[in-house]
Amino acid sequence: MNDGTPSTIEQCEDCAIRLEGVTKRFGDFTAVEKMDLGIRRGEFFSLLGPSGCGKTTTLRMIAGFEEPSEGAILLDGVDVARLPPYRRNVNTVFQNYALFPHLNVEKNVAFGLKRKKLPKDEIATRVADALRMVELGDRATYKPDQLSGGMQQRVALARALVNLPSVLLLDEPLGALDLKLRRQMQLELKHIHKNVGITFIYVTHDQEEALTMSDRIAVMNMGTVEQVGSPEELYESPGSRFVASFIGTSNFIDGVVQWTATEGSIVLGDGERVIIELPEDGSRPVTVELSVRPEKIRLRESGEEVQPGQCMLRGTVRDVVYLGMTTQYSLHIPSLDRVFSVLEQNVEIASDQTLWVSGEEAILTWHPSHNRMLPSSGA
Amino acid sequence: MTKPADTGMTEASAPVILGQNSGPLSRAISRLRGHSFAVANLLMAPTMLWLLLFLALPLGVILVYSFGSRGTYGDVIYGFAFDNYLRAFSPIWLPVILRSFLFAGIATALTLAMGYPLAYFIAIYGGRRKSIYLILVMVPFWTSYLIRTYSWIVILRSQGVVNTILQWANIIDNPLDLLNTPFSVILGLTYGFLPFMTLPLYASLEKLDKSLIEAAWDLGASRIWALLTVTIPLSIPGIIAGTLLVFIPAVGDFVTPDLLGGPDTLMIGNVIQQQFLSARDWAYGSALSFSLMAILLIGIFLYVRKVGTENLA
Repeated sequence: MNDGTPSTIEQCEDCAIRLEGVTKRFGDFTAVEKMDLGIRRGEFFSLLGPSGCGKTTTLRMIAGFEEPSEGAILLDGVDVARLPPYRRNVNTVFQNYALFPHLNVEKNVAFGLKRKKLPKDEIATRVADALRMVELGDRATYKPDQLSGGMQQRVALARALVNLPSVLLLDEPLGALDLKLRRQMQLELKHIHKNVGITFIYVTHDQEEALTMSDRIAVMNMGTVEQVGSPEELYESPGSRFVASFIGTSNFIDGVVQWTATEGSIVLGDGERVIIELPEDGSRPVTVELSVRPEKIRLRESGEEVQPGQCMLRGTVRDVVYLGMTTQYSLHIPSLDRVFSVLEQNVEIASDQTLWVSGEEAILTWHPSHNRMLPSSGA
Repeated sequence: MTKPADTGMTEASAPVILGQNSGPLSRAISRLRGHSFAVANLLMAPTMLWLLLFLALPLGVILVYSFGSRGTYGDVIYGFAFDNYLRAFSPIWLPVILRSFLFAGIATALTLAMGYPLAYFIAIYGGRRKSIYLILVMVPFWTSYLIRTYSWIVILRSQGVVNTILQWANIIDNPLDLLNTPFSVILGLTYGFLPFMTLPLYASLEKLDKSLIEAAWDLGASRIWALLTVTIPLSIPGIIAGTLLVFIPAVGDFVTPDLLGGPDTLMIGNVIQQQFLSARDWAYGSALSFSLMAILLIGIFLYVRKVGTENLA
């Protein structure tokens, strides 16, 4: 994507899966473009992005349902890109579960093992173990349509995991569940992942879900990987404007920078300033785009003194959304002509105190270390 | 991002409240149910009336006839005797009945063998051309069955298309006996009933969730194995419908053996037709019809029960 981002296949000597220059075209449409990705053994790895970003296509290529137009897919070091799905040691949990409706739970789970021609008693033991793992030991003889969505989901999981694949692929497996069940299943999945030690590749468009569950996340957009990193890295140091706005909320500031020996600053007049720490690579760009997370910003009364080293902007409160633990404000910043989002902890708000109200003037301050310089895209 | 846990509690308790509700809402629902029942009756009425007039009544007439006997001038003398039924199950017709079932069975197997791949192709790989393929399957219906069967005579007879080409190419010296053989009758039945097999198969394969096939592959099943263990078991309803739609009319068919068959391809449909039209023994023809129907009904019952339960197991 951008030249500043290091290649994503570097730190992966013993990859479970490695994508090298994988491209998938459907006619004129390029779904995935020159994708390089290394997924570590035992990792919980998420492919995160909006619909149409190519994450599901990527997963389907790893599973073998789509053949890449170009590139290699190395599973345990062997290129499987042109092998049919039944010759890959990979199993999938489908979005709609895809349980065989004519087979009961037990037979669904045994389906893969039967193909491996294992002895009957071994199949029975492993199926029973897998069902116990997903807490469905007592539902072995039920038909899929006699189970709730959450239970069907767990059968699908057991059916895939019982084969002990090198990699387990999960295609938005919790998409059809309601919020409460979804939260519960997230924890269960995480727990199961820890216990079985199998590499999980998880496709989702839900950033919160990806952040909660993953060891690492690849954020995808328009067929390419924007950034790969741990949830903290992606949230705290977004590598692009897309990542900054897709994962959580970000406030963006752009302007011309005046550099001194110790710092840079965007001066906006009337005491307003955005201080920028010196980039470690020694670059001194003339214009920058910064992102600041809403919870890093504090609101102060418009008359209050601001410490010299802090960033400071003036704004007018537009909307106040009280969320219990926090309050979310949106403020119009006249000097940038932008609306900023600010999240305040309700720590100091006692019952008799009032929140900021719409129309009030306020000062926004934050420490310069919270500014993230984004690579100028399309500049 | 923690949501207060108590939201779940209200969700959980809501259905209970609804379930116990006997207020205006549930009364309205039950009124609506009664209403939709009336609508359903209204919608079914024309078909019911039609079936009553043109199926149930004629069947009743035939049933009455079947216990009567033939008058001197081909009329029916009403009575209550089982003579016709005893004659219907007499051994002289056994070869004819067996032949009818054999021909219809082979034709059903052939239409299934040809129709399944065709329906599978259209349902799974048809894409945007699905409707074109389906129209092509149905195109033969645009011409009368009689005319289509006559054209097989043109193709199969001694100086017909096939023999002429084979002789011209010096593959054979003398024309082959294609027409008026079991071969030509089975061919005619297979040809004529193929759409009746293809369409229900298509309907059930079209409904099939394609991700189930992918799931089978994903779990290590080769294409053949996925077909045998997932696709075919899940299309059993279509297979049942298709085989019944082909087998039942094929057993009783008289047009095809009449036009394409010979003396040794007589089917039970021909016998019934002869009783009504040539022998003018309507009572006996009626008894034969009813006997055939009874055998078919028992057969269908056993078949559906066997295949249907295997599907459920």
